Amino acid sequence: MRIGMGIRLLETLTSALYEDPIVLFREYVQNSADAFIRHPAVDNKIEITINQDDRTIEFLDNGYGVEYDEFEHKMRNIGISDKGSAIDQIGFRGIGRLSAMPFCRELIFTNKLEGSSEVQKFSWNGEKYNKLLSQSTSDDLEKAVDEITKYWSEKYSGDDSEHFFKVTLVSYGDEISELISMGEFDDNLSKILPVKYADAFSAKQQIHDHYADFMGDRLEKFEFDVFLNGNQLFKPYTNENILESDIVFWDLCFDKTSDDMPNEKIGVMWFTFNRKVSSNPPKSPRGLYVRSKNMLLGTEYAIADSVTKGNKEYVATYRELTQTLNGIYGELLIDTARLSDNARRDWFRIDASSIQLRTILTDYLRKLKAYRYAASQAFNDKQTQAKKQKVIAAYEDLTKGFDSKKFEQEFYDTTEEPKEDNTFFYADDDIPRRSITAKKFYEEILIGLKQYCTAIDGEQGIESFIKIRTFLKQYLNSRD
Amino acid sequence: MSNDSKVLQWLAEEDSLPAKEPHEEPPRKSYDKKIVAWLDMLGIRAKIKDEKTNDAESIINIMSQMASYVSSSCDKYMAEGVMSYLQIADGFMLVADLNYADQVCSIIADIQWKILINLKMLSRGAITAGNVSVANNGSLIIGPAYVDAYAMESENAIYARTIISDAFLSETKDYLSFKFIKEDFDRTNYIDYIHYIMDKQSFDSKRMHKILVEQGICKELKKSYDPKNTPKINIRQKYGWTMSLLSRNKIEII
Repeated sequence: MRIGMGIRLLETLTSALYEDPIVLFREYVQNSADAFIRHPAVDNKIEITINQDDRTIEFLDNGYGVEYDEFEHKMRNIGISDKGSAIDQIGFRGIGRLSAMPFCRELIFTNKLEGSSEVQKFSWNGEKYNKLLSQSTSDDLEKAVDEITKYWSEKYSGDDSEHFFKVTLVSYGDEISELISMGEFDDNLSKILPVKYADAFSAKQQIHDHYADFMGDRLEKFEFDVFLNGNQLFKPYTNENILESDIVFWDLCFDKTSDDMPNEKIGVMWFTFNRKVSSNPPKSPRGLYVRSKNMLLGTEYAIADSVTKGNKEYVATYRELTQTLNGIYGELLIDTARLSDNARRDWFRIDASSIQLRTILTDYLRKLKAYRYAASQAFNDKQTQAKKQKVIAAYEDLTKGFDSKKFEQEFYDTTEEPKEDNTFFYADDDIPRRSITAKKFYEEILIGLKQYCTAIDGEQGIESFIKIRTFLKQYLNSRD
Repeated sequence: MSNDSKVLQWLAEEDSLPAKEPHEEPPRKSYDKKIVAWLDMLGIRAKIKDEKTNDAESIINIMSQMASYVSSSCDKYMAEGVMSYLQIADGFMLVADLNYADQVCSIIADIQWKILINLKMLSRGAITAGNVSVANNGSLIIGPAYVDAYAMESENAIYARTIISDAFLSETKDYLSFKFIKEDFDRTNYIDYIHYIMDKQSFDSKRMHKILVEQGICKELKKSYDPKNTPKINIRQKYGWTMSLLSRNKIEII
């Protein structure tokens, strides 16, 4: 019996998986990145060009495109990846190429092969697609696809030797307009795309070298030159993000499956933190970004999500974990054949391997939290030996013995006492998961309250302020 | 005369010695039909001769590793009295009853894999079946099958593979079900140890590729296959053959 598949399935495959339009930028850039991994070209380049006047977006890569005879078939296909068996593909599943469908009037794929005098084009008509969605009750997906797609080829006016693959979003919708006009759009793209570290980030070479040593492979093969309207995007790390601990590495392996096999590797985690772990500014790339083949999964709190969901082992509340993560900068760079991204690409499919990863991350968060707590205790009382021993042990545990002598010296160097940072954000420290409006309101109230307390009682007023803030924090905690 | 030739000559002389006059001694031990396998690590001699490295410890370490692979695979069969093995420098000889054909093939495949993945070295061997005698609790193995296995390995295996003689296939036809014996381009049968390990571990080619990359095997193979690093064609071809073995198992070397 033939299974009826209607256009609703297409809707589910596109819009349901990609609610946030920023994801489509990731999808198309990753598509180009995959093409480069399969078939590297000289000076691989991915250019995103946004024209806000005529509301078009182009994703152009100088890769070798799709084989002439396969282009139409692949562009029409749904849910069949064109990545074949390429071993290092970043892992999209055919449906990724349609991620812009709900957000534009027309989606055009252009394929130009080296040596060819023509370009092939394939379009998906978003307008007709939306119309079909509102009217059709058809269960014939193939017929619906025929109605909304078109294939043609035309003479190429440029040089035959050129080769490229281009995706054009024509007349994009208001969701994308809104996204692009947000002040932090470039920064957000830099966080999610598989771009390079800036040369100015002095830990770049250290991370590359450590990754190559441990993984036996180069991280650079997953890093790409991506340009947004002519400006190259880089990962948003600067030297300011290298904190007092310097760069600490954790090398992650799966357990041995048998005596015949070496430990299979998961990836490399690098992170950096201050001796006293306090929240880093919210606009900086704080937290731990998990990247599979350099593609971002979830948010900076992805590991807190993973550790708190369905885990028998309790580490701390979600809030405590995110607060702890706010105190570090880092990335977990994963490349393994044993983990597959889940459909939403915010974590990995649940299986024995991802559970093993969760166990490692649980251990990591436990150690990070233990250090944060011990450091906070020791910072306030540098005389008590037990606290000193505890913080040194916690540091050694977290960093696996990384320069703990230096740490001890610096931690107990009393010549310079840390001062409260002017950029301290109360809301993120106290209520990290609330809405932006609530956070802003809370932030302003606290700043005003602090000013009031110090104006009335000077330095003594700080004590009253801290008491009120503690009360508010407890009150908000109890409401959650 | 090379050491190999001396060994062969000695074995041939031993083989052709006239039978001693029977007297009150126990009956002379006769040959039995058994499986004989010989596996040799490639590149050890070059390491020993390499005056630059002059690192006896690493060589001893490699030898002991190999000894541990052999003993961990064979000891339980030794205890049952159905198998014997003898390590001779960088190689080892294994003798087993004919009905242990599958186990011998698995042991050889396992050891070839361990040598590759843990020691980053290649190995070459041969398996045959014929007349052999094991004496002194396994410390002495003699007989025509011994000579055959040794000669096959050094003369016919050529590449980093374990070849299988026709005699082995015919003598063990009632017992052999090992499915990773393949025919090579020169019509020689060999053990596809990569396929065997993938099957044993239920790994696909993508996962196997990743392991080989992580352990630096792909890099090592590519490096050694490069004429700039390995000018001698007879050595380079061993790496080339191993790369083609991976490729036959759909494992890309990139």
